[in-house]
Amino acid sequence: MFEVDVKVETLKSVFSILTPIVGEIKLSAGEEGWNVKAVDPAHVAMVDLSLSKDAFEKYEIEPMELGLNVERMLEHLKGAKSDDMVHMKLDSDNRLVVSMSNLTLKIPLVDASGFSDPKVPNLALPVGLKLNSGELQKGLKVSASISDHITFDCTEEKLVMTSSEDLSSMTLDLHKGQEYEEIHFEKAAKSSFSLDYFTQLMKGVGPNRDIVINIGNSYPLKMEFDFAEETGHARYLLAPRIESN
Amino acid sequence: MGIKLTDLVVKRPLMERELSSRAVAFDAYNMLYQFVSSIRTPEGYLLTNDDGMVISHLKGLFSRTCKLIADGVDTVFIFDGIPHELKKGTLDLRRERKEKAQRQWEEALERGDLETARTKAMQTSRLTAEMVDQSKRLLDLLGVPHMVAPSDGEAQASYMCSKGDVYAASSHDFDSLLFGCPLLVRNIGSTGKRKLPGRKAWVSVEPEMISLDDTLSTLEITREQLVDMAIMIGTDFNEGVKGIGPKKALKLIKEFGNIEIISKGSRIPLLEYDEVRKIFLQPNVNNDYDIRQGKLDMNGVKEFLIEELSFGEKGVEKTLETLKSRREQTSQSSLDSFF
Repeated sequence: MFEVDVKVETLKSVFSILTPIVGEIKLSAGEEGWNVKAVDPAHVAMVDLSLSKDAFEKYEIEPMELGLNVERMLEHLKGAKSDDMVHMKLDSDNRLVVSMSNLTLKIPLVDASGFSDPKVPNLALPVGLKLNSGELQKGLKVSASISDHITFDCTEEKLVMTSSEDLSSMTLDLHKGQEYEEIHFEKAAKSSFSLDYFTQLMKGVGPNRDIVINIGNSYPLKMEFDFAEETGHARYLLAPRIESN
Repeated sequence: MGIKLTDLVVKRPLMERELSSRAVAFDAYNMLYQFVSSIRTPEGYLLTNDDGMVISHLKGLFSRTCKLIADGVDTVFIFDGIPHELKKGTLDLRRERKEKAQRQWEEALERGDLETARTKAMQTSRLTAEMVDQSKRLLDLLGVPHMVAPSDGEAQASYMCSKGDVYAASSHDFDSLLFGCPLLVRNIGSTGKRKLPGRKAWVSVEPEMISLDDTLSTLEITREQLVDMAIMIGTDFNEGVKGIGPKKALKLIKEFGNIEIISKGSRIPLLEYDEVRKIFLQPNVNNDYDIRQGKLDMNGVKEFLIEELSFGEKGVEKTLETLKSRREQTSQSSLDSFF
């Protein structure tokens, strides 16, 4: 049994958050809602996304797992108007039937049996900050013209984003109480990240969203945010670039 | 300059840490030209120190070489020797272009057209004997081995690579492939974005590897045939045939096999091809060389750059510091290593 009614905007958010990480997902539909955990093929970035059943107008589900192609789902949803309600159910051929207003799609499921279940680690990170995604996006965008990676250097009073290559460099200062709000601070932390990956993740986050980032010392970055009017919650992990010799 | 093969060669991205602890032969003139063309003021003037002495080449060389060494690359620099008689035409042409660019630069400056000025200025770039000597001196102080090739630097680097004395040869041009270089690395050390001349556009420049074997087997031709193609397209040593580009040359070679047969069946005039073939297939190289890494003379570098040439003390020391630790090169980690 799988039959739901959900706003097209909510579905779009779900798949937009997943698309920077993987092409195909295994969606776990449970009694309380949906969950997707996925790691990118290089094991550099990971997503853990939950959508509560409160996000749905109708939610009739026996716990099951569905394999879906993320990009194709996003393409399909382009057929909907922004305030459309999407009706989804499985037909007798085990195809996903997606209907929105006068449009109906029948989509074969992807075989998800071989998909691994990534374990999402519990990371203890010394710094946690809350800020608007636009602040990060600014730094990432500019540094892409300089280098292929960016360093986050967080001290008690500010977060400094830097990027340098050969003779060029960029520095962006974000200040506590101004551009960000401190959630917790144990000790200074500094990590570098691939701009390619980070920029992709920020596309998943979207513009003008409140996010919480956690930083450690040459440690993965954790970035969390709510979506779909707080019925959804997403968490990204991004492995750092590390100093080596 | 060099042969236009971009669309035909088989490229792959340079792997993370691929060059670490490996020797790479650099086409020294090729690299220094890049520096004197790109390290300029917005008006297009070369960077000078307080005494008015040009330092663009050393600034670039110092920064680039230190980064490579810090990344673990054993750098070897090969300077061009005496150019082959047949290169004279190319060299004359380059000189004329530079003179023309010089005039256009001055005109653009008068008009106040900075963008054109800088582009034209870049095209005037030339290396003086003094710049080359200073570069060699800096390499000596950094402990980087270098040598002068009998003729073409790329030929020498390719020879060293084919013998296995260096892992790869680095040049911006594709000529190394004609010289039989098994592995050519391009854009090394210049990762990031490069501005397209004359436009407000950026292209992403990533280091890339080109394997001669992969290229030949993909194109299904021999190296001799690749050289014949190059001769038809035009090289630094001959003009080529009008109207024949890489794609057409490949088609002709695959259909007919070699230049002799192609020129027999058509009116394509192919003078000098014997000599050009010889340049590429039996290159003039030196097999007596010592490319062992030397010792870094930290004080010598400081004396030369800071005291003699008035480089900023802080910048020089900072760069040297990265060298000492053989450096915090960053490489992408995997999430797996954290749980």
